[in-house]
Amino acid sequence: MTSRLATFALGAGLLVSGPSLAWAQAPTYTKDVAPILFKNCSQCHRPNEVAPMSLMTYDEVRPWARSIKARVTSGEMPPWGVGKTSLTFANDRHLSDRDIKTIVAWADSGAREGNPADLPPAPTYPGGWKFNSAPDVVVKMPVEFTIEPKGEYPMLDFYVPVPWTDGMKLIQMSEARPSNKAVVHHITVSLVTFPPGTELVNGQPFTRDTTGTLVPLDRRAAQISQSKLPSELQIPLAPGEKPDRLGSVGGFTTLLAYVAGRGFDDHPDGIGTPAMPGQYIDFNMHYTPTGRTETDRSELGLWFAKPPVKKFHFRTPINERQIVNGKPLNGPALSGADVEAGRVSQAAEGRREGLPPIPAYMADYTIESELAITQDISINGFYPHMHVRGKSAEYTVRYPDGRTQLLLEVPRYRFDWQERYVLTQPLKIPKGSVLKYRAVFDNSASNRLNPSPDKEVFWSEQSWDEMSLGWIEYTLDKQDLRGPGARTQQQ
Amino acid sequence: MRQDRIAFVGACAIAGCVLFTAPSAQQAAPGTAPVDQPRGLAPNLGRPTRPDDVVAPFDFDKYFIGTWSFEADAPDSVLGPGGMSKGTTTYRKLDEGFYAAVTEAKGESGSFTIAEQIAYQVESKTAFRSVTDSRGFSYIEAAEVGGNIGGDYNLFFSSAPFMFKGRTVRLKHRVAVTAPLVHKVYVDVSTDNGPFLHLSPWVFSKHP
Repeated sequence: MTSRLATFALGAGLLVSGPSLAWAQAPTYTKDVAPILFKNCSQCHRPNEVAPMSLMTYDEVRPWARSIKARVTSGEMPPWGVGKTSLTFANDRHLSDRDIKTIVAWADSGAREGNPADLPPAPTYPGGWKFNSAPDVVVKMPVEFTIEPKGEYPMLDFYVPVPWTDGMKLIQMSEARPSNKAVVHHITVSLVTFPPGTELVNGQPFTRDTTGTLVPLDRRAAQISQSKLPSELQIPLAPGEKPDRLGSVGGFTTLLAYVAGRGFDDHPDGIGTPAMPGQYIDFNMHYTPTGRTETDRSELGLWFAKPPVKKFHFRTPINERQIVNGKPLNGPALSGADVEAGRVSQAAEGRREGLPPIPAYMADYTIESELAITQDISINGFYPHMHVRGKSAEYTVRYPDGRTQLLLEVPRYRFDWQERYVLTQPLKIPKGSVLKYRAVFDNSASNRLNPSPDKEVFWSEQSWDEMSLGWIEYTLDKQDLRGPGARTQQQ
Repeated sequence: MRQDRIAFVGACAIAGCVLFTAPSAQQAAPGTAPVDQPRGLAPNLGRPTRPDDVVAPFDFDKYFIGTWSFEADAPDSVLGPGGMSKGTTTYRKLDEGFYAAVTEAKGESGSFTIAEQIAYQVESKTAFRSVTDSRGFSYIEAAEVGGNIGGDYNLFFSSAPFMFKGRTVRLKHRVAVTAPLVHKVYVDVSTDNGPFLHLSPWVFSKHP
């Protein structure tokens, strides 16, 4: 048996000075491969996670040895979408050449288990959550929802009161988990504020009319503006400072989004989404029917920032000006001088209702968008979002002095693995800059995820329609929550 | 054209899908539909979809009939050694609602053939397969069939238990129809009434 194995190793070109030495030096699972898989793959490849198979033990990994070799060699796994960039990313999970060579040599030399004593401790995921500690709070959808086999569902909202009573907290980490991944297209979790007297029935908001009868709350009419928010959630303005989009309430009330490939957000120490008693957690659910009756009751894990808390976490899409296939839709391109001088109309924000449909069979439909930076910010991450026609995405910035910088290119966007790209270090973007986002869509038959290349594609949350959202995640440089009086000082 | 094809090949290399050449009519003017261009299964409404839109029944004839190429990267399992398998599956119509399919495949451990007869009842949205695999096992499967207004359809096959090499085996095949020229078959296997384990998808592609 030993000679047969040695011959196999020889054939794989692993020998250095003889069969026995090569055999002894060939990588093993316990010593060489498990550390790579634990570090780079276990977050998804474990029981009940998004990956279709667990890779946590030798017995689970061994049958996949050849497949793992093929996937890491091609770069398909672990998934990582960054092409050209001038930045580094904290969640960069692509394997080093050395790790790839180790896996290849292990698979080619018989995928041995090795000495059990060499096996490092497997990472722990308390309660199955992706972070290595249990959440401070777990919130479930108030009801289990049944998804019937019909054509489509609109977006549905289910509300749960913020479950703590001891004041505002910054949510530094969060994770949304569907109970049925097959039907959940997305979960968007937000913090909302309803008028006093609002009552929830099965997660839906009601109010009482003059006779005391419960009637559904008109949520649009009940929207709370920033000026009516509790003082803890307001972003006061410096003397002479105008309200702007970057500091608006809409920027910090979205907690996270779950889509294929993401659904767990973490932020630097002291930074997070503010939430406080009296607010409600909104599970905005988009269900896509599979063709048979399904059920889902998603849940949310929350981890709070430890003191000292520093800043609110904001996010916004780049969509103030849109240029479709070279044709401006809503006003001329932004001038850096105008932005710096405050001569920018926030009303020019792009609306998807104004976007022309993607023609049938069109392979390169391009939307370029811009966002005026009207105060100093620090970008912490990017999240491009498209649907099944999504092909590529690109972020650039033009600084006030005219310099341009490519920030992030995603050359092969994947709807089935949407990544949030988290920066290693915050990127300072000064007032007067213009951020640009370019998204390309492929409605041709060559797109392997395109169900209907013969149809023009409209714009909506439904996965067979399209969306073009180049999100940025950022903090306001002027904000500092670390002490009374310091909270809103200009830096 | 060349750039489009290179980009597509690159995308497929990343996604692990089967390569096929884009149709020659690819460069038709946007919005036009040459007769040889593939079409989706959902009706062309000419407007955005609405929650009360009715899903068209899955059209087996339109989608499956013809020859498909496939590629699968399977793990070792109770059904045999894993590794890459490639081959073709040809569907033909026997009668209204009845079909036959033959798969000729070559894997790392040799060639094999899968012969199947299929019944699809549109009204009840159900399908049935009787499958004989030359590797030494046979089974029957039943499926719910459904989809959504966007044209994504699924056939959820589950097998009756069958014996293979002294073990009790159950299979699940989810046929995910995602594009006119591409579908995936997700395979899960249970041995001796244990939990179902994933066996990686078979990816099928078709030339127009």
